[in-house]
Order: sequence, then structure tokens, then C-alpha cells
Amino acid sequence: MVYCNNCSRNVSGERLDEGLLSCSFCGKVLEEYNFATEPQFVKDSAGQSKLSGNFVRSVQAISDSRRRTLDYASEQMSGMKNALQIDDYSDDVVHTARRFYEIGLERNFTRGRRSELVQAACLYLACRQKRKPFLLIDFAHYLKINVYELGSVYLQLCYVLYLADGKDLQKLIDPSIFIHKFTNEGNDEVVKTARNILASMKRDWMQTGRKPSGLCGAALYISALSHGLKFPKSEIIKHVYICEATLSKRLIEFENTNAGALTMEEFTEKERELRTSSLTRKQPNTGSKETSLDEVLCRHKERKPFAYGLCNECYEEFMKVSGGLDGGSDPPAFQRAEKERLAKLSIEENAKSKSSCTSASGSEKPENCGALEDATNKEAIDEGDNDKLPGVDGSDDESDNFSDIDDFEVDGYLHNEEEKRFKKIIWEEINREYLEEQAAKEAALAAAKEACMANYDKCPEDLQAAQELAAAAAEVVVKSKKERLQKRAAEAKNAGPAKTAAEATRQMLVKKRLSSKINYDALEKLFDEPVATEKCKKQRIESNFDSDEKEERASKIGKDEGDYDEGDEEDGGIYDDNPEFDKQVYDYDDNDYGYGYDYDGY
Amino acid sequence: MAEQGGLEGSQPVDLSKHPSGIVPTLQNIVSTVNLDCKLDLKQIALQARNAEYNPKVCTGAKSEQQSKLAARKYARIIQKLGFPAKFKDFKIQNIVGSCDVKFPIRLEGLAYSHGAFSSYEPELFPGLIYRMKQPKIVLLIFVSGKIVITGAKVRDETYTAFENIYPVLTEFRKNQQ
Repeated sequence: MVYCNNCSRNVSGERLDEGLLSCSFCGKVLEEYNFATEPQFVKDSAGQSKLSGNFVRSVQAISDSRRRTLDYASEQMSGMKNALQIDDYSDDVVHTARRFYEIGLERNFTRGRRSELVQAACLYLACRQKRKPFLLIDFAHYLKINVYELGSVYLQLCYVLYLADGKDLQKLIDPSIFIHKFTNEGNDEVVKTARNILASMKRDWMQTGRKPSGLCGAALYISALSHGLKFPKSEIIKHVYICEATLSKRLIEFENTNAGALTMEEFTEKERELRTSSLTRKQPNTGSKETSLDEVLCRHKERKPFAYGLCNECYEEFMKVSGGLDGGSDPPAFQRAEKERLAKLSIEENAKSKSSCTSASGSEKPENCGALEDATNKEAIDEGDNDKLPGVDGSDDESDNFSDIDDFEVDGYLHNEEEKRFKKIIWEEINREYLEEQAAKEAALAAAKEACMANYDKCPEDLQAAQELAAAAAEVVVKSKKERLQKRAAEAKNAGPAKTAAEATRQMLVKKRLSSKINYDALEKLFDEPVATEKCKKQRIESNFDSDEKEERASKIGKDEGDYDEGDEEDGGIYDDNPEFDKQVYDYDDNDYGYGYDYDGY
Repeated sequence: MAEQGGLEGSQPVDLSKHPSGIVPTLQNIVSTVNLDCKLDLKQIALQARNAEYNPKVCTGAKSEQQSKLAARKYARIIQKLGFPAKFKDFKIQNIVGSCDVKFPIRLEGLAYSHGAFSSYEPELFPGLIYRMKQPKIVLLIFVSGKIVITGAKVRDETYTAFENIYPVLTEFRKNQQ
């Protein structure tokens, strides 16, 4: 980020190969250092040439796919930024948002949420941090989703990101930042007046709980009007995302405040006075209940509390954003509540004056301070009972008899026959689709059963037996399935690591259940070839000492091996106890065992 | 069931229990009970008055005792319809209360000083959502001074939560000229 004189802004510069830093917008050359990128060598104290610099382990050790995700997210966010014209001169917001997105990825925040929602929330968070005048509803409008949906994702993101700190550090939006957004250059007077109006609105408690943009729009409208520029309301509401009714309401509210009655000059004069007086103000009035805290409640833990449990900086911010606690008109919501209270009071007064006896209200009395709630005709029944609530949150079984319930009353809750009939008709009419679905399901079930039965119809004499068999088989299958699953689970737990490759593969296949079509025998053979040949060898050794059977086998093997001397084939074919044995043994000349040659005669 | 807070009007507020002098009224109580038997919902819906059955989707009481009474009445109704209903595990799940402190509150100040517990987004919702840790209760605070307290399982939690927040609210009250 360097400052470009021509654009009079901070820009992200572009650096060409050999070190010229130029502005990415106007192209003006900002820095002219030449950098060399080859490694440099220096001589150390012993006169030995050494590489200057160190090898640094890569800090960013993220995987390729993660990098790709982040880059894609950055692209999307840049697109959003451009579409909303957030900040044409630098990518700062996108970088900040990208960092939030990275943390979110690590905390698995993107799982189960649409990625564009998460990106918008990250971007909005970045905008809030940099005090950019953009509303959640701008993003929601761009994405064409409900603003409350985006809002919920945003709130969850805040929670996830600040998990480490344990504190919500998001700053509040000051409506004044929106003024510049909605005006273009040259209307300085309008802007100034608008800002004054907004400050006055804040002091008159019009702003708490309201959307910042709406107030801003109203302030601008008034300010423009006071300077003779007539904007149609439709223009304002297009930019500000409030409807005309709301705008009118705000104007009326402002009219009702004291400031609304002043003329323009008086108003400006008053603002100037207030501003100068605020500079000389010292310790503010901290309200009726002093908080006797030694440390601050805000996040600047090391500072001393100035007022309301806030450090000086936070206090100033609070005053600027909200307008403080002193004086001004009441907030409109409060005014409405007050009106309602007075209305109720007057109704009560009338009722009381009309009727001499207060039979209806029972134990109620109209209170002077307006703490009156609704007047009812029933007595207050539960006041005494509520102190002790027997078994309310215990897990008792109080079912036995419902003798405390009035049966007559309960009967009143049940329909009589005719009513039942009518209700049935009505209900079936209303829920016709559901009933049809259920009927279809049942029909399908019955049809399946029928098909099964039809198969058995072909052998009628065994019908019953077959059915029973089928039922029993099904039961066994189910049971065995269950047992199998349980056994498998138990085995998987108990079995240690596999001893051979075959076992390992089998374990893996069993666990993953890739296919029931795997031929385990072939699998075993796969790993068993060297073992098989060893077995063969063992057999041959034995044959030299053994009886006829072994000899038979041995000779067979010999035949298989194909090392049998053709000339002796006949002899080899006679399998009886003969002195030719040794000769036959000698014919096995492919494998030198050392035993066969020691025979001198049998 | 139409009983609405006649509680405060009936006797003076006990200041030892409610130092602020204001008692929240309970607006809604949600409770559950286990009837311990299978129910044919369609049949019940057809036979009982005031019963709706929407196959495609025991609240409203204004006091715990009423809630329990209502639950028992419903169990009795179901018994009469022929199901062997019992009354097990009655438990109150949620109590919602509301009250009015009668002075305007600067929500921004609360958001600044109690940022760890408050969530104030005027773009989304005009009230401040305060999540108290002890007792674990959620309060909705509005600029007009009206407070909604929810999440309590017993009535006392509601009262405690309100007494805890009251001093904070007075700190950010509007200073009348």
C-alpha cells in the first residue's frame, strides 16, 4: 500500500521485474529501486565465502487444495467487492476477508453452509472493521437471499472467529458514515447539515434500535430540502433500502422533536454551541447508580475507567455513536409505550368512576404509577400456589387417578356423535393428499405380500410349510444379520493389528464392506505363492525316506517338475517295494539334497 | 387459561425478593409430559374439541400450576377416548417472562460496556440480545424499556436474571431534562 499523488489515495502498487513500483491505476512511477534476486555472497571473518541470508522454513505450510479453496474464495469476494463498489482502489478488504475465511475454514465453518454466504459474511465483517459504509442488506440484495439468513450466518461467524478471545469485539456502526456514500462531491453544505441533523437525531434518541441507513436517508432528505434541492422520496428509498412509509415516519418523528421546530439558522447555531461546549466538558454525569468498578468493562483492560465502566476512548466513541444519555426527546418506542400506559389508566379511571363497586377486578386496584396490567374478570388463583410447586420438575409418575380433574369439564372437551361425523368429513377433506399417500403406501405393501403369496401358490400342498419356512428363514436372517453386525463390531474392537498382509487386507475389506463379491480364497492365494513353493520343497525332502505313498507323491511331483529321465519311465511307473528304489531316487537330479547319493544299496 | 398478570396488582411488591420494585410477568410456559402409551392421533383429533391434527406439524399457559393442570386435563381427555394414558415425567422446559422498566435505555452503551454478553445489530433486530451466564438466561432489551426474559426452567431464575440486569439498565437510562 503506497500513496499515489496522482490518485491521491493509497493504492496497491504493481512492481515489475526489475524493481519499478508503479500505481496500478494511473501508472505513475512511485519507487525506483533496483532489486537483484540472485543469492549474494559475503566473506566472513576467516575469509571464507558464505551465502548471505538464511533459509527460512515456509511459514505458510498449507496444502494445495486448501490454497485453491482460498484463492477461489478470494476471487468470489473480489467479484462481490466490485459489484458493490466497496473500494475501488485497493484490495485490502478482500485480504482481510480472506484471512477471516481462512480461520473459518480451519474451524469447519464452511461445512454445511453455502460458500457464498460465508464469503459475504467475511466481506461484511471486513467492511465493518474498516468502517466502510455498507449494510448487510446490500450483500443480501446482491446474493438475492433473505437478509436475516445472511445475518444469522454473520452472527455465527462472529462467534466462531472470536472464540479465542471470548469477547465480541465488533464495533457499532455510526450512521454518519453513510452520508458520504449517498452524496457525490460538491454538496458540502448539504453534507454538513445532514451530519448535524443526524447528531441531533441521535441526541433525541431516534437512532437506537433503528437501521443506520434509514436515519441517514431521512437526514439527507431534510438537509437537501432545507437547501432547496428537492429529491423525490423514491430516489432516497432506492439507495437506502427502506420503504416510503418508514421514511415518512422518520420525518414525522424528527418533526416532533424539539430540534425539528427550529429554523435552519437556529439549528446550525445550536449545533455549533453544543460542539464547542462538548470540548470543554470534563467528567460526565455517570447516572443515578454509580458503578463502583476499579477496572473497565470494555476490552481495554489496562486502562482506567472513565465513565460507565468504559475507558476514555470507548467512552468517546460511545458518545459519538449514540449521542449520550442526557436529555433530548424520548425514543419513539418509549413514547408509544407511555401513551398506551396513559390510555389504560384513563380507561380504568372511567370504569371506576362509572361503577361504584369493583366487583369485576377482584383483588386488583388501579395503581398510580401505571403498573397496571390487563384488567381481568377472573380471580388471581395462583399467587399462593406458586411458592411451592409439588412435583413440577420431578420425574414422578402421577398417573394413577385423575381425581383432581373435573370430569364434567373434561367431557365438555369431547365431541358428541354428530360433531364427530362432521369433523371427520372436514378433516378428511383438508388432508386429502396425506390420506391418498398413506393409502398408496398400504396398497404397495399389500401388493408385495400378494406377490410373495402367489409364488407359493404353485405348490399348494407345501404352501403352509413353505410359508412357515420362509417366515422362519426371514427371522433367522434378521437375527443372524443382527448377530453378525454385533459380532463384527466386537471383532473389530478386539482384533489387534493384522499379522499378515492377507489379514490386513481382509480386515480392511470387512470394515469398509466394499463388496460381497470378493473371493477370499483368491485373496489368500495372492499372498500365498512363496509359501506354496516352500511347502512343495518340504514334501520332497520327506519323500526320500518314506514309504510307498510318499514315494508315489514324490514321483508324481517329479513328473510335474518334468525332470524325470525318460529312459526310466517304466521303472518309475512301478510302485512297489523294490530294490530299484535307490535308482529312482537317483533320478531326481534337479534338486541336490545330499541324501540320495548316500545310498549304497538298500 | 386467559389469566394475565394479575399478580402485581394483587399485593405490594416484596422488596427483599425484588429490590428493583418491579416483578416480571410470566407470559408463556412450555412443558412436556410422558403419557407412556401409543396414541392414534387421527382418532383423537376427530373426537376432541379444540384439537387439530396436521400430519404434515401443550403451550400457552401463564403459570406453572396452570401448565400442569392443563397437561393433566389433556391426559384425562385422552384417557376418556380409550387410550391407557399415564402422567409421567412432567417437566417445565421453558418460561418466558416480560416486564417494563419505564425508562428509555441506551442500547449502544450496553453493547459497549457488556460486549461479551450483548449482541446488538440494529440492521437485523431492534433489540439488544443479552445472554446472561449466571443464571443462563437470554434477555431481549428494547429502547422503550421493555424487557423479555426467556430460557428459565424455574420462575426464580427469571426473577434473578431481571434483578441482575436492572442496575445495568439504570446506568444507561436516559437522563430526563
